[in-house]
Amino acid sequence: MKHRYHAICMAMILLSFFSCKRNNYDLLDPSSAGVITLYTTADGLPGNEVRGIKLDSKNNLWFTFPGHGTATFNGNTWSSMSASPSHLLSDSVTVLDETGTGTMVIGTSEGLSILSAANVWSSVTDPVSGMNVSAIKVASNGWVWVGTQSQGFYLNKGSGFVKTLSNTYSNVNTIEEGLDGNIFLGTDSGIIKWNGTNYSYIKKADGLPAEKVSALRSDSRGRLWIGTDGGKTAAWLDTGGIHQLDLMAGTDSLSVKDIHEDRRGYIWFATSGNGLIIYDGIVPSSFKEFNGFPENSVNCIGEDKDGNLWFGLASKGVVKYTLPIGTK
Amino acid sequence: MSRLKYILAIALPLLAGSVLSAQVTSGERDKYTLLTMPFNMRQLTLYKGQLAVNAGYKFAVRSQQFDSNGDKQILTNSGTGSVYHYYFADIRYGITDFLEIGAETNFIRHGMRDQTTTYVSATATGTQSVTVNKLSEVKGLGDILLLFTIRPPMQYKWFDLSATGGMFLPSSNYQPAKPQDNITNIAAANSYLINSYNKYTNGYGVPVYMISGSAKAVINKITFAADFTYKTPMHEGKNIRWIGTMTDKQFSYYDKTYQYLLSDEYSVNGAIHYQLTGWFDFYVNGFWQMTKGGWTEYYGNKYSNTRTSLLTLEPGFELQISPSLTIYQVAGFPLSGKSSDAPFYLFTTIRFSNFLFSK
Repeated sequence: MKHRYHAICMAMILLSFFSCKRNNYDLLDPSSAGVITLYTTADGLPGNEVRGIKLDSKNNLWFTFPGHGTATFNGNTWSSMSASPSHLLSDSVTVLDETGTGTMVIGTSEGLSILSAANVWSSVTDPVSGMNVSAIKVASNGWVWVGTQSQGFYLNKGSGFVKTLSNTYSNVNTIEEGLDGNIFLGTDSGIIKWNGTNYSYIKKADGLPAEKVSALRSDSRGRLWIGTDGGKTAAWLDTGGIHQLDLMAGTDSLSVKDIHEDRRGYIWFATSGNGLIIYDGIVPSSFKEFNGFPENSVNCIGEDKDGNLWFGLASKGVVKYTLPIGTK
Repeated sequence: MSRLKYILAIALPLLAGSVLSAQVTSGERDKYTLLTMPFNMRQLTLYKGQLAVNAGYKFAVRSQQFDSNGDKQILTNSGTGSVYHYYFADIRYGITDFLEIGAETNFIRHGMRDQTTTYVSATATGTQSVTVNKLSEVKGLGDILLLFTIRPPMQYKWFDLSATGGMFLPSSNYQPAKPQDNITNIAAANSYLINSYNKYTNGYGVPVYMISGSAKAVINKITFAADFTYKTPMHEGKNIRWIGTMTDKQFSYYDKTYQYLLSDEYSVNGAIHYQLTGWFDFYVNGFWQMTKGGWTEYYGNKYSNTRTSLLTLEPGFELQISPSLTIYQVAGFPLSGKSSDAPFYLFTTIRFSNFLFSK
């Protein structure tokens, strides 16, 4: 009886060891977290001024360089593209976005250059008034919104681009889609909101920090973040209205160039002259030259497939930043 | 291959123990002789029918830590030193002279304060100042360890061996509680203090296997004792991190789930004991522990856990104050390590021991 009891105990313990379940993963080195890597023309960039960053569906990062075309980074190598010998309308590339079919819509000072997933080029221009593209947004319903400087915006619902221009809102700086599907266009005179049926407008009198809206970004919690050129605050719009956030940048006139939410839920503000401002939900803090960032003027923010942040600088290239990790 | 090692490590001693212990019967014992057996004359497991209950308290001062290069960092310089209180209890019973079973658990209370950070923004229109105090507390009941120990079925004279196997069973939900942040001086628009209070729980969160081997050799009043322990998790675990947002000085929270695989833990003790009298044993122990392997998910990526190690010098004594009561006292002095807290501690344990069924 005693033998049997011991044997059963031993068998149960041995069986429990067989139940160890371990999966094999590619693990990252913790020392790689919190690290800044700077890329410049010495690393193969076509220029050191970066205007826009976009991750495509093939996990390539696209960068736009005013005066120098575009560049892509596949995780290992850089490759660049300029107007000659490619079919880009101009080397003055500002922004880009990707459609659901893998077509890249590239905005230039001369119009749109469109590169299909099958590597076929086409273009969209406005021979009458010109088309200096400053914002592109491919909405979730497939509509392509294109903002310009001085010529309002163009909308392609699938049957070609149609221009909308009003004198008040002729400069469109940024376009974003809310989680509810509303489209917001940031202009020099406030925000144009398209709710699927009508346009409405949000002005400084409604609570914007300044008239000129330079950056818009939806976050994962349904907030639309608003950055302006002027004022010392950022704002966010939610169902409760517009809320102000003092960015504590030490200036009353902040120029926000781009906004991004990282995987932690932190909100990043790229500014002209005041570096990066990181909002962890509680207090904004600065990341600039005095605490190790390469340049105080940041034009744009992107994110790669691994959650690393990429910052396009005004004159010093591109920065890759791996988010820091905690101790628990 | 590594699993085969586990199996062999536990199966061989078990096999020997389970067979041989059944073949040996101990003779009639004088329980007071056994209860007052000095350390150098005592076998590694309890005697048949002996029950022992231990209750311990460790007071630790976390005033320094070793960084990844092994350099000592003094936490009190940054105002982030802390103390923690660790309570321990176990119960053990000798089924035979060669097989002991037991269970143990612990409770911990530890508050860690981050360096106070003040954010100031001075502009032409005014100055805004926000100070953040962050306190992280680890508190709660630890896992319940169920274990058994076997030793060779022979009379202990000057050398003994034992093998232990066991499992830590999670005793509660290990998710951290929602943070309790608040603002002091809330009426001030431009200068206020945020007190951030994060509450974590104790324990592994997943079942963890433990195997251990011990050896002991005696030359007159001097005893050499050593043991090795290995712990490994049964499987990956899940937990949450809280993220707070302050809107109009009101806090709201949401959580994000992450996965983890605990590191394997290795520890080695090597001690020299001196039996000063029959009721007093003094010793010096070297305690080395290391963690290795495992990973933690951050923001969708899995990062290897940092490898840690710590070597601590532990002078201590065992004082028998009655046949049933013994006091153990040990002090820990961290000597070296990497990526590890290095607390100084005092650990006091009182043991009640008796034979349940012997007169």
